[in-house]
Amino acid sequence: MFDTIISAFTLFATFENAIALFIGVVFGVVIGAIPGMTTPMGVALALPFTFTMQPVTGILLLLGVYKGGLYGGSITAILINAPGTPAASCTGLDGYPLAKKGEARRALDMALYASCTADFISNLSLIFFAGILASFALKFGPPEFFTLIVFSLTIIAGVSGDDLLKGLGSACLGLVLATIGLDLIYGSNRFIFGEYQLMSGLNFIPVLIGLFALPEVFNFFATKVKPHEISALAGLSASFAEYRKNLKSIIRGSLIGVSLGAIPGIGGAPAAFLSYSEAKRTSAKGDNFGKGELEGVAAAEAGNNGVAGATLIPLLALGVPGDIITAIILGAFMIHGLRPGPLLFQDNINLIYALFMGIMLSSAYLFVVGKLSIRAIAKIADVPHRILFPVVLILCVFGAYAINNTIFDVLVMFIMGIVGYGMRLLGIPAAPFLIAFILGPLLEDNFRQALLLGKGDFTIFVRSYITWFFWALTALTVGAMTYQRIKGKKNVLADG
Amino acid sequence: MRNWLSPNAMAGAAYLALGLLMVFVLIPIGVDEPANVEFAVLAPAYWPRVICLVLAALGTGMLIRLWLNTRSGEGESDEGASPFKGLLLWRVGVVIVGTFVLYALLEPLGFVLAGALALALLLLFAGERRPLHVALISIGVPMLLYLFFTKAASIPIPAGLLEPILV
Repeated sequence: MFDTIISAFTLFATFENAIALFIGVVFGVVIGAIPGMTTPMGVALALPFTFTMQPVTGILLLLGVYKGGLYGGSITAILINAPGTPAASCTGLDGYPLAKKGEARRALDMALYASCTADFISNLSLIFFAGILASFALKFGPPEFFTLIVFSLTIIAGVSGDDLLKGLGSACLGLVLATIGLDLIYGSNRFIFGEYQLMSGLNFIPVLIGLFALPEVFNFFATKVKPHEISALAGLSASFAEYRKNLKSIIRGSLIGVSLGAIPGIGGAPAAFLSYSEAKRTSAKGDNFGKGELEGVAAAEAGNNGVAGATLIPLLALGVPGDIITAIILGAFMIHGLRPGPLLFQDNINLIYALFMGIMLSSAYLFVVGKLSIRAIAKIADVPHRILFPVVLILCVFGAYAINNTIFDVLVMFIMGIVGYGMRLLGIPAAPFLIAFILGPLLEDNFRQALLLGKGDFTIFVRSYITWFFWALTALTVGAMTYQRIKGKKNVLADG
Repeated sequence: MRNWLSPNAMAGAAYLALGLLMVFVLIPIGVDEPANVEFAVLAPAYWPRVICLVLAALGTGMLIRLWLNTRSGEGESDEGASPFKGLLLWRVGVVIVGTFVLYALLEPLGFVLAGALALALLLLFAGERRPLHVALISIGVPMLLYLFFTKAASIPIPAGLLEPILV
């Protein structure tokens, strides 16, 4: 064992590995921070550079991009409400209101601290629990996935603002929009109306940018009195005391991220929203969530980054990629003649340990790069709004196009911008719409696959202890939220 | 009466109208139903239809709640406030029309040229009056974005009229 660790350390402790990992994290943060550039895109772009590298160096470069991208997505979500990743849109729910109040620096700091802590916890889980969690994840079938997503959707009640009916309606709109495209079971058209570009459904990035960034641009032009242009950097940094105060939410979010990340196909967005929902439900300042609460930023980022290490669990232990990024990383393994899975642990255990060491170092790099990037990128918030908003619009146009190299996505973004602005005027919250749009396809696919398995019998949704567990959690969460709403209304009536 | 022009009333009416429009018009027209559907719950239209019925029910619920509040005189203080009050909507209209003009010009002119023109006009419309700033930003930003996407990220961006110079 000791010999293996020494051998792994020798394999890991090279200048090339340290530099590759650092470059990967920097590249990932930059890619994640640009609306329209996604982390999978960044990992895919970096893949060709790994062909000539040693296996450990190449894989560490990709892991660096992955981890940097997860954090980078939160930067523009906080500063200009244009999330770089779906999961980062959850961070923007409280991060952007904080930036508007001139506290972008605090929000960015807290996002970084939560990201690094969650990343560290996720890495530890990868090292210690790979085998156990992967075997549990293998028990998930469509009914279990469906109940898990239903549980994740309980967050909608939490982000609906004062009017639950409006929030639920917004979620319905998101679910309907997610049904556009070819039906997965029968392959028939749904709401395509002859437009072949709609066959694969709407890409979430143009929808996301349109829904969150463009209404801000339109609103800037609609307001008579220009909002006070506060220097975001004038705001204070997040203190250690604030970090300690939010540590409970960060650790809980990290564990949610680890648990969901270990299940193939779930990804960071449900983990971020679930962590946020739990923090809102249990926090003394739950009512302030969505209006600029630091704990909301911490919880969302912890959930999002807790996924990073855990998605590697099924990849390394079983050779099953959990998402697009780990699928690309699996490709990198195979390019170097390696096949992740139990045999890799048997034949190349020193390589696995070397990767674990690199992954631990990536948490430290993320902290350093994040701290430096906050100073550099947060300057965006110092730009006067009369310059910032027109530039944001042009950035959105390039970003929306770059996703699929199709001008159709730019049109989708503009239309969603108008829809988002209309929703804003009518006081319809955009967050439930987005959550439902992201989770909608997962929900429907698993719902229908489960019914296909059960030959149309709905009892399939209570077939195992895992489904019962998630139904019980959903009932408990909905019950607790309803109780809090009734209690809150009674308090308001009593006060007024 | 004012309650019926409030954001809540408009949102409720929009949910109801959209839900019914989907169930009775768009789903029958827009969803192709295969002939060999084994179980009704697996039909391609089943899921969107259920969601749209829920949407219509939510809209109805919001309108009934508003009607009950109006009858009992419990209208919330801001219920009657118009969502458009104090907003310069004509300016938003100009920007929205501008975005569609930009969309139409992106391919013929190219992203850099169309982006530069749009950015210059938007900056002037937003109140930026320093000509040097307008010129530098409107040329520099699209150019930098173009170079980043094409050279660093290897994502082709249409260059349009500037193709002989840029590509």
